Amino acid sequence: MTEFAQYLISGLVVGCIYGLIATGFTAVYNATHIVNFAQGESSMLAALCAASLVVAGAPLLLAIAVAVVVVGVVNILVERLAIRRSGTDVTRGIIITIGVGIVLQGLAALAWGTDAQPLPAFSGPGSISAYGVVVPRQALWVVGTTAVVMALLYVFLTRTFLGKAFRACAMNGQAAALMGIPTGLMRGIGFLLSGTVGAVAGVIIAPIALMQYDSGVALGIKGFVACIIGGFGNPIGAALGGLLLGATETLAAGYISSGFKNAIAFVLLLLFLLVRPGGLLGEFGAAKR
Amino acid sequence: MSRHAMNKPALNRFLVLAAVLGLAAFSNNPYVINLLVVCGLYALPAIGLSLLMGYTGQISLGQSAFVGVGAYGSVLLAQHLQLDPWYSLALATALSAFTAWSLGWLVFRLKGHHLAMATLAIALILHTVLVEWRSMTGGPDGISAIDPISIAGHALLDDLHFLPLAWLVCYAGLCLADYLVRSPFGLAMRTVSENEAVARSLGIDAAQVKRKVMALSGAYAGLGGALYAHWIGYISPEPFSVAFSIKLLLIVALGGVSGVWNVLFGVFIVVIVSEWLKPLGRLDVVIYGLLLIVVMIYCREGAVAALAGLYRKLPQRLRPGARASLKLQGRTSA
Amino acid sequence: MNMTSTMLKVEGVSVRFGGLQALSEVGFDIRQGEILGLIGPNGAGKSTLLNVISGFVRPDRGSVHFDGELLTGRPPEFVNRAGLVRTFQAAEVLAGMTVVENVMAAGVARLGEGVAGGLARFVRAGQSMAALYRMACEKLELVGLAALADQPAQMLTAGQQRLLAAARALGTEARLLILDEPAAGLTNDEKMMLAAAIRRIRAAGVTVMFVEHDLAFVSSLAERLVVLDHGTVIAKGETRAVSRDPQVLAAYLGETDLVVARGRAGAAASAAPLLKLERVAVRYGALHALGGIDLEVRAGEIVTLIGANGAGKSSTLKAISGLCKLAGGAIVFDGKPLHGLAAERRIAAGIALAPEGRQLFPMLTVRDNLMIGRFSHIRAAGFGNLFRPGAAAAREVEAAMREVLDFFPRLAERIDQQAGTLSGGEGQMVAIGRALMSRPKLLMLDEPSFGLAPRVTREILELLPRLAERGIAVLLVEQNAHAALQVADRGYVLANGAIVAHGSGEELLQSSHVGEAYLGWQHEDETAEVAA
Repeated sequence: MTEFAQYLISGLVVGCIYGLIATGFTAVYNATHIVNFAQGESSMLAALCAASLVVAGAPLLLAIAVAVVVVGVVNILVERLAIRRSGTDVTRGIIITIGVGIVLQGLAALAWGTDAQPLPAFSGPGSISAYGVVVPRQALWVVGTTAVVMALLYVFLTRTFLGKAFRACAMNGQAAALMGIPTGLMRGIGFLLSGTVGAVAGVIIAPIALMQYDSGVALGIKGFVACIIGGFGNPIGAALGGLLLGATETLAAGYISSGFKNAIAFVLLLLFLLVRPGGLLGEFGAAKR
Repeated sequence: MSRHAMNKPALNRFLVLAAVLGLAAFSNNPYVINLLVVCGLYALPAIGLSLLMGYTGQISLGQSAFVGVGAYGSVLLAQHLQLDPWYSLALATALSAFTAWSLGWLVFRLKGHHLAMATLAIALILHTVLVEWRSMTGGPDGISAIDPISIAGHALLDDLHFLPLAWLVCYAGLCLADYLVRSPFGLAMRTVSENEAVARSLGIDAAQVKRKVMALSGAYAGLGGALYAHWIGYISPEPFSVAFSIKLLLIVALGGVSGVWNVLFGVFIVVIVSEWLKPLGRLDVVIYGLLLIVVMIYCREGAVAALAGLYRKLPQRLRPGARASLKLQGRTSA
Repeated sequence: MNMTSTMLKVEGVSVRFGGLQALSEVGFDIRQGEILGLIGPNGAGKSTLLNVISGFVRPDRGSVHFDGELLTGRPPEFVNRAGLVRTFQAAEVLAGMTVVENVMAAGVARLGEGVAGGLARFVRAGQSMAALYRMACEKLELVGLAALADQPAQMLTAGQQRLLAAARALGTEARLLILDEPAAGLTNDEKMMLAAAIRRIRAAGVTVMFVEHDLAFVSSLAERLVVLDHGTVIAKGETRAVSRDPQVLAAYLGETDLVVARGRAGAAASAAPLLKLERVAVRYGALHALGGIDLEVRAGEIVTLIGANGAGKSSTLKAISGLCKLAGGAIVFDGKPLHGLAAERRIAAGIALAPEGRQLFPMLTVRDNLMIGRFSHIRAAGFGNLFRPGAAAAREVEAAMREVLDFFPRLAERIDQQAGTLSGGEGQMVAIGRALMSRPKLLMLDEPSFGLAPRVTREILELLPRLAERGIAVLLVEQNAHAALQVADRGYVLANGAIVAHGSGEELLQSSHVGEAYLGWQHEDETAEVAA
């Protein structure tokens, strides 16, 4: 039983990260109807940037803050320079984001090489144990930060005027334009949100899971799977999807085989795409262009 | 862009190809010969992907999976069933085609990014299977001591000896693809890719057309993979990864999706650029990504079409050969 | 002409989409060798009916038999192979191919089935392609496009594209050809060529049915008509009889009677126009939507723009709100030309639109929907206000909201309800309210009565004079002409992209010519006898 609890808890912790990344996907998709294949790179870049800053002597908090801001800015630049030009063609948009992902990954490999860049845990190394379950201290940071970020996002989207306008744009782009809501601004917000959320996810998981130049790919895919499970367009769905994926993955890895751990996510992806593309809670459901 | 613009007789192309390869062979430069074999083998899955993306409008990031099925399939069949590589090649190609066809049933209901993600998942699942199923695939270490292909008792061990085989197959593949495109089935493919509802209203079973093309594309990929395995003598999961799928995507994007022969253009560029960038380490990946972005933004019909477009925009006077014809028409400026 | 054998039999077809009954017990026949027209006002269900017949939609009840064979529930490919073919609105020619290739593609499915057939096709591809080419040229000859065979399909004009779509459909060797709005957006010359082509097609032995909004075109070509309204068949029979049927006229013009206090006139009449359209033309690619119209609206006036579907009403509103570009002419608003002003900026300039189909934000509450109507103004007051409107901005928002709720008291009860859960009438109120939030000078309404019961239509339209009293100029686009003319001070009748009548609301209401102008019936006697 303790074994089960251990796997479950670890799975939920990693699930928080997937949930955050899934939320990032949602933010971009809502604003542009493009799935940002480079989503995972935001997490990777933030983690590696923060690691370098710490090595250069910056205090941890500052390093993290700067890294998150930098990645947010990078995302805005990507939107302006690359995504805007793709117009409304979804296929081109997809291939362009694939290209962006490759470029960022390549630049990361150039800048940091292929070794993992460790980031110190926020409140020191060491673990906590309760009822026979052991988790690293950082896990509390992961869960706590995820909860805070999700709450902030929720408040933004449902309590602020701008957030509501953002959602309106996703619900009906033409009507939003009629009301004077500038689509350029909304796209920029979408990318900024997704970049920031992805960056935060990257820095909080980095002390537990070693991040390196190619970590973004797996994270991105799993975040996307979480989106599909939970339903595009709905941040709560994204979070739920992430937790579900994390738990399933870790349980399967523990009880079946760790090698096939990654494959679990992909199989789940195919399953949901075929059976229930709208996800469990999708706001804008069905598989469509 | 009119697809009939490429209507040069196949014989011309054959001669040009033979000339190029002959020259290279006589240069006796092992590096160049090796590169040319690689080009020939890359071209096969690229042709398959070009048919799939260009003529059914589907994005596929899973081509590497079918190449892998072909490679491992041929090797395992040859080893476990004591088959001559020629037979295992044929069987492996059929196996890839069948795998692709079955997956076509599953994924063709999806569109846009859902389809892209599903094909990506397929590629990743296969890669994981290749790495984890050690008893069958040898895991990350792969399988070595693969039998080479033999013709009339002579094993094709050398790059130089393999070169004509690789390119003959490639040429046959190109001709077949071209023939298909020009056939009634080609019309059906093009209709489905442009407008599925119209296709169905004309009696064309769109889903079936897509599955057939998927199977064909899988066959090309499998054949390429199998040939690769028997040429290089050793395979591991590493080359059959998403990165390879993306390279193929770039090749097709560069070559453009109209005109099967343009794929060769894409292949040469990517392979050559790969080589140039090797000493620069990881920069090659960045260049690929940038190339992909630039091509998608500025050359929607592929680089060949874009270059052709640029050529047409040149003022009459500046084009080579234009002078003479203008003179004949009495239209050169004083 | 064999008039007695039935080719297509539609019986009891009913279709429901979510909460909407799109078709209800629809039944009619198509006889061999005839040309049949399917007409009806916007939203009548014609597209749905076409989709049911051609296999793209499965009806909940009812059946479609073609030459005795049951078609309902079979996929489009099967329906086509049975001998029935349809075209699509806007032709949908395959732009990546040449004209002749478009038609050749239609013949592919007939070339032989199964593995053996496929192999045979494969081996003798050259021969098959030659045969297809010959067939294609024949069909192109029939519609009059033979000279353009090797041109890229995308270079054709709109009229030629429609002819190509027909030729392509014929390439499937179908016995029944169904054309979906083949004449939409065509010039008169193009329409004549199309009519001639349809007659030649029928003479070659193909039965034709077509859906159309241009009633003059339909009545000159079709021998029998089926009229659809709100998902049911309200009339069918010989063209002449149907065109005189008062029920049909009422279906198009509407019958709703309003109680309107008229007393404003006077002052508004002498003021300079707030909105002026001069020779405004709109084109969507090759389609002519508006061909140079002149129109004026003054402050405090209610002007209505009426016309059949496809006449160009929505295009007019889109041009004014900036959602589409002008192909010619100019729009002047409040003394300044609108040219170059982006759609997102026009609301700040004082132009507000309650769009067709409401276009609410379904997951947001009524309050939020209304507030979004004030987005431009809140933003103009300072970017920070976008997060939480500051004191001054908030006060304005409250004031505007009070006005809107005063106008639509029913919304006050539903202020915190999600907009997607409202009834049709309430939704329309929110759409109008949202437009009013920006305190516009010009309020445009695009078919507010669409999908609403007569009682609700009355409720909403009867409120408009109150708005006019406050000095707002109202431009009302309506299909329900009868109702609209009762509330409007002036009206314009739009047909085929041109204004065919205008005058005061009362004049147009009394005039018997409105019906004819609106429907185009007046051309009937002149063109009916023009044989191919």
